[in-house]
Amino acid sequence: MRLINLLSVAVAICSLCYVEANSGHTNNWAVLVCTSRFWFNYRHMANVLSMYRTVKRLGIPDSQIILMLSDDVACNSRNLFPGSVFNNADRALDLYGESVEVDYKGYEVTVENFIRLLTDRWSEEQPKSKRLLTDENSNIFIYMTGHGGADFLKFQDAEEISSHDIADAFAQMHEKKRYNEIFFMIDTCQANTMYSQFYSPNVLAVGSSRLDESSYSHHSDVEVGVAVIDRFTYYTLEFMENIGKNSSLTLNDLFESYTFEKVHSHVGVKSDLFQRDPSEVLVTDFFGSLKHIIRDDTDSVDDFNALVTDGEKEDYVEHVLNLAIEKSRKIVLEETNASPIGHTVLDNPVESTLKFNKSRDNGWSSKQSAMFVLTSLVIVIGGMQLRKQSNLRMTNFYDVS
Amino acid sequence: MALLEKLQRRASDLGLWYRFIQLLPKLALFCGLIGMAYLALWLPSEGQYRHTYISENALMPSQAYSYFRETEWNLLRGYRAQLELLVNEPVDKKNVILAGWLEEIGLKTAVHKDADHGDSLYGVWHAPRGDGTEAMVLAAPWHNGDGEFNLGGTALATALTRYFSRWPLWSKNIIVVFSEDPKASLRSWCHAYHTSLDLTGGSIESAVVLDYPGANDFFKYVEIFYAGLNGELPNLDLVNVAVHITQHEGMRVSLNGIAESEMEDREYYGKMKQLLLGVRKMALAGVQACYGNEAFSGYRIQSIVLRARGSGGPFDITTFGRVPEAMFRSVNNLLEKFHQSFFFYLLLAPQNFVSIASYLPAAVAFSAAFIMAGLDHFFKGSKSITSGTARSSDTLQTVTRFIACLMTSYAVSQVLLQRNNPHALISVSVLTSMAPLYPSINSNSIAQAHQLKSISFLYLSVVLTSLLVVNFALAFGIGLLAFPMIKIQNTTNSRLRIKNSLLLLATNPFIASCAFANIFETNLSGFDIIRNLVSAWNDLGCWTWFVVCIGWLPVWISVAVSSCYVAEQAEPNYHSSSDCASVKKLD
Repeated sequence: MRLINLLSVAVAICSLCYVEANSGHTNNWAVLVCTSRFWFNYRHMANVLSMYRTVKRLGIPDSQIILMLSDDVACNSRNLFPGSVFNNADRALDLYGESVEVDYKGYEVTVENFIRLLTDRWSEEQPKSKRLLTDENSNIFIYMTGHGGADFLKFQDAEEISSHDIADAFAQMHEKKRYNEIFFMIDTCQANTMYSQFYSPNVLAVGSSRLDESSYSHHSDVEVGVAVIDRFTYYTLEFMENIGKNSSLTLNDLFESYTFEKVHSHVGVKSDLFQRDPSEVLVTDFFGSLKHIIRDDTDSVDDFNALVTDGEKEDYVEHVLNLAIEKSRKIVLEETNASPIGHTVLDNPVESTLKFNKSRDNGWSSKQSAMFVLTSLVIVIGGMQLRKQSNLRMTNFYDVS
Repeated sequence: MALLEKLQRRASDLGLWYRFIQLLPKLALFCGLIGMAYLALWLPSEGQYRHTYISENALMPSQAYSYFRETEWNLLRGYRAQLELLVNEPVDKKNVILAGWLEEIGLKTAVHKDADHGDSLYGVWHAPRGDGTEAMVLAAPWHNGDGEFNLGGTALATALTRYFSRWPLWSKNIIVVFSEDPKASLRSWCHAYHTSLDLTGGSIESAVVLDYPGANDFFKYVEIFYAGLNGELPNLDLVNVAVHITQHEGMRVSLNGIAESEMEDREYYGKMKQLLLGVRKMALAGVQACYGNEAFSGYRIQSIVLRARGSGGPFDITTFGRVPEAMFRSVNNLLEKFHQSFFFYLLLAPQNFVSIASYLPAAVAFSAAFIMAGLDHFFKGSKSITSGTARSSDTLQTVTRFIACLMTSYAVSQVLLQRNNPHALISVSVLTSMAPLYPSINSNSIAQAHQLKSISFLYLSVVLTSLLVVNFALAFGIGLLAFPMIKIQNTTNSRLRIKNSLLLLATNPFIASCAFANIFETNLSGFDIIRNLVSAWNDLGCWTWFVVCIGWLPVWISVAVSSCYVAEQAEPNYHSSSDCASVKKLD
């Protein structure tokens, strides 16, 4: 028994070490923000939808992607291909074709909502699907694109977020243990100024252009009549297309793939706050969703044998017995009222019936509902009595032990 | 403040104020010359003008490929062949047939009836995916500004409408208008659209007028007209878009109808010529031949005319059609009204402009010249009063006289509106110009003469100042032509009196504008300009006639009246010490 205890401790330590070697995160999140409106900013929408597609392809589920899309170019009347958004003039890939879950759209994309999202300061009504539910084990990839300037990024042609705002939001996230590491990527004019104010640990940032430098679009589609993608994002995607879920390429490889000849501006990297060397950080640490599940390596048969040999057989038998009682109780219930409602009633009968009634108010006649209340009352009483009996039995067992 | 007082004391000790007053007539002359030189000589020089640029990001001219090409050739020629058969038919019949075609394409059509100016047929293409609140206008008058049958233009407008209806990407409605002429008839339609018509397509953002007379397939270059009525110009972005697209399609651009031989001249004199031509076009908008963009002035519609010129050139009519196509795609991209670029500008070349801040000083200089001339006469008049030769009640009399001149001018403007008889007007003007030759000697009136001139010049200065932002070209033109008036003196010398008379003749609003038109505008010979000024008000609502009659004419009449008065003796000498004292008392 001691040996087994020792072994299990060793396994636990090993698995911990394994996690540590992979940046210590257990979940991946992505926040993708397009801040500019209007038809002529088509490329910003295409940028962000391309990144959305990439992180989704590499395994981050929609529930862990917050997509903020400030305009709907797909349904704009000026779009020659209604319902589609393309990031290349060859129009081989419709970014809007598959299921796209936009979390914040149109005028919901505001500085306030973005800061609230990062710091998770919401009122109770905010649905979970629109929150960034990260913890201290989360790696977050944040991508922003739009029109910017020195130390600011325009939102919606109406307001700006400053580099200080984002830096302070990250600091709050750090205090609230909302992240393990952040990878911040921004494609806008004078983008490198946007990460200049960061001061929180474990933040890695990359921007598309220096102070007083513009970020340029890559090419236009002569049919759609607009520029369809920005250079920085284009070459990021070009790199990303070679990345699979098991890729061993690092962020340093990504950074080295940017050249002035390609991007036409000076890409900047801020790595002084980051604990690790970018050449040791896998791209998939941020773009993929690595699921580090601490597996229970112990075998259940061994467990049973161990219990038996240790003379603690009675406890185990007791457990098995309880399970059997519970099962039989369920069977009895199903027999008395062969409807699935029985299960829900068990826990909190009165409330759930009320709720049920409320939600189906229109479809149910008063006669039906009266019958329902009656049957459910019967179930409640029956259930309570059964519970009493079982409780009695349980106490008996405990008394024995 | 102490410093200011010290400076003021010092200035009065040195007699600077007195010297300034003495210099006023020369300064006035100097200002006028500066104004002229500034516009004509300084602005076209390197570094004073800027290169044009598209200010509104949304426009994106020529970013989408234009497809009005070979596929549309036969359709266009088909429409043209059919329209050619209708050239001599009455407008009713033309409208019925054309309305049939438009309805076949899917437009809603209606005819705006106007017994005075001619009916206009128009059709509205409701953008299937647009919100229907805004519209773009494509206009093709049956006859162009020169009276030719606009065969190519109307055929092109029909073919383009059919072509546009097949694109699914319009965010604004498209309105196509076929009016009798590009002047009164189109203006009448535009007015009715904003007041009484039932079939409408939302607020009009832009208007493109097509002018392609004749059945020729090929042409040489494109002319663009943009000067609207009453000093209005389309937003510079629209002009830039038109120029950009035309040049992108490989065609050459001529602005304001400058001749083919001169339109490529990008040297100093070429720029000067284009600039002055642009000012002339603006000042005489509505009075000269109208090509159609003038019809949309006053409704916040940005409008230009595209005109194909020459036959047998390298470009075919579909190339011309691609310019309105790409312009419509561009305007369709707009999310707001045109507002980014300049509304006040002068073009020196298709791609060079000066903005309002750069050119305003030219008209301000004329305004300042009249202020100085007015002040000069004010001081001279005051001195006559203080020297005891005049009574103070004379001032009241002078003001009354000026008001009488104003009333007379207004009466003249109204009479001419009723009975458009330029011959009588010019005759009366010439006779009035003779006034200085028959002086009335009156010891008291010399002060009144100065006062009257002072009031008139200050009045003209106020008129020009308030006009110079709204209608710079007109303010500049009036300033320039009326400028010699400041040289008219009160004198007994007979030779100088003849000079006065000649100056009056030269600065008479009607004689001066007729002379100007006859020298510079080939199609405004004789007294046409007077007739056109009146008809421009009646047909188009162009208020140049009233600016001339109420701004310029009363000043001229009062100067003519004042120049009849002469003093018994020579002008009082400014250099006597008593004058000095009197002037000092004034300040």
